[in-house]
Amino acid sequence: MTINEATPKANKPIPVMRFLKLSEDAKTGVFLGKKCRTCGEFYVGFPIFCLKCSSTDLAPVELSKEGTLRTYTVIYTPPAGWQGAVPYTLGDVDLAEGVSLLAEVIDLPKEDIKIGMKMRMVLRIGGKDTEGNDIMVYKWQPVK
Amino acid sequence: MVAKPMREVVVAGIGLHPFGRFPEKSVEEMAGRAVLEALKDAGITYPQIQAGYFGHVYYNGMSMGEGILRGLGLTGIPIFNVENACSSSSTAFEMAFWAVASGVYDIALTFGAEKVPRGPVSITGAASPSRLMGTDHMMASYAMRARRYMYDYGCPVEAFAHVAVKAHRNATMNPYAQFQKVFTMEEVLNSRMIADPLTLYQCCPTSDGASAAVICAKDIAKKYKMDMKRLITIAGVGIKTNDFNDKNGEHLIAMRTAREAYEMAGLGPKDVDVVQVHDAATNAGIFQLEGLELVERGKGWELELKGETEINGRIPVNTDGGLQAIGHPLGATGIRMLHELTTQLRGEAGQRQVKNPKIGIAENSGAGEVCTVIILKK
Repeated sequence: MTINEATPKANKPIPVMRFLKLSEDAKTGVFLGKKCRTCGEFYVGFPIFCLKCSSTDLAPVELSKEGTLRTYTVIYTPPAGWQGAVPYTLGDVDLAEGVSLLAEVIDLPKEDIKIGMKMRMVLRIGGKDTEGNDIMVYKWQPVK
Repeated sequence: MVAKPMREVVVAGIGLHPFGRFPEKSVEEMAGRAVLEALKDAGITYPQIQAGYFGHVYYNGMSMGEGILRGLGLTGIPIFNVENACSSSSTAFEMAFWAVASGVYDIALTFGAEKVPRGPVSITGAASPSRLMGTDHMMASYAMRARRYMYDYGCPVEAFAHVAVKAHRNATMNPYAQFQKVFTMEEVLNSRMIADPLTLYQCCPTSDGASAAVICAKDIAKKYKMDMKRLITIAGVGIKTNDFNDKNGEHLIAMRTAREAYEMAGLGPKDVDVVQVHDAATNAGIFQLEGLELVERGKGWELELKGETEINGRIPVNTDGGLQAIGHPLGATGIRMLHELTTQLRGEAGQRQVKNPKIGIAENSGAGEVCTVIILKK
């Protein structure tokens, strides 16, 4: 700690992954992806090639923010780096575009989780970067 | 059309360093012991070896294979270091096989060794964003597949637990195994939860250990004065990574790999007498039986619960204890599977001997994903 503390820098929330695009106020976000113009397959993120047909003609798209829980697990022994509560639930959610995204399921007692539930993406602070900015992570929340 | 070997290649010698925790031993020492055992088993000496293929995962300085074999003599042979996740030594084995099958070498040494750090194995590096997401968890991916399988096919958790119970019972008859203790169904199910539905005793341990095999062209085995009755033929090999459509089922990569090996061998699932599968988590020990088409998709759990995968069952699986009980020193596992198949096919498995097996198959999965399947024939 120095005597003359620097003026705290403004917090500039950053997304955990590049494909998560935050709104101006970082309260909401969208999943960015690509759609193959040749075969119609969708992808999360920014692939250069279509993994199905190897076409390079891919259009940028925004993917659904809601989907269906394909499977889940409740983790009691967390991996290195996990800063959240334990146990926690991980859910793999299928989006309408045929892609799936894995994230923590929140706001749901672990006993109540069921395959086939509808989930929506919400943002939470997952940690801080080396400059003290919030790192925003996406999580799945049941659609009531 | 799969590739065909230009000549018959056999496993001539096998060696294993016990799996477990050996803090006082270096990976070089363990690997050296397994290699010496394999050379002795083949009835040859190190200077006769024409090439070395070493499988490992954890980085312990450059050119580890050279470092290990240096202790046996500086004979100037080519040595290949192969990293392919948990399939590293089976990949090294297949590379050695093709080199011998195509006439590049007559005799090769293939081996694997590892000292795995304690704690869960991570796929990503420390800086990976998946750490903040809580998603970098090897057993979580197995657990989620298990949950979906239970939902789709009505499989109870007891079927998965049975894979561990069976494995541990088999390992009590294997002096090389990390665990040599019987576990009951209750003990397996009531052990600490790791990632629901997988409890601690359904996740393979991390281990130290080493494995080795000497392979050679059968037509030159006589020249080396080998015991022809103990030679085991490498009848088929396959290796695959993910195909786009593999997302439709966890058994599909093994199925595509196995079909290649079956075709090369001119054999099918009905011909198989003894099986090794990569049961890193218990549910994989069931899924891979479906991948090898030994049982229909969705029915593997019934086969397991009926006891048909026991040593005296219709399709004996993981007779040495599998990853669950013998342990999983990543780079040593692939050749360890072949060590057990060879021992079984030779009829030298003692208490855990399957009755008169002729054909053995081994499936070894790795992150990536990668899958190898190797068929051995008496």
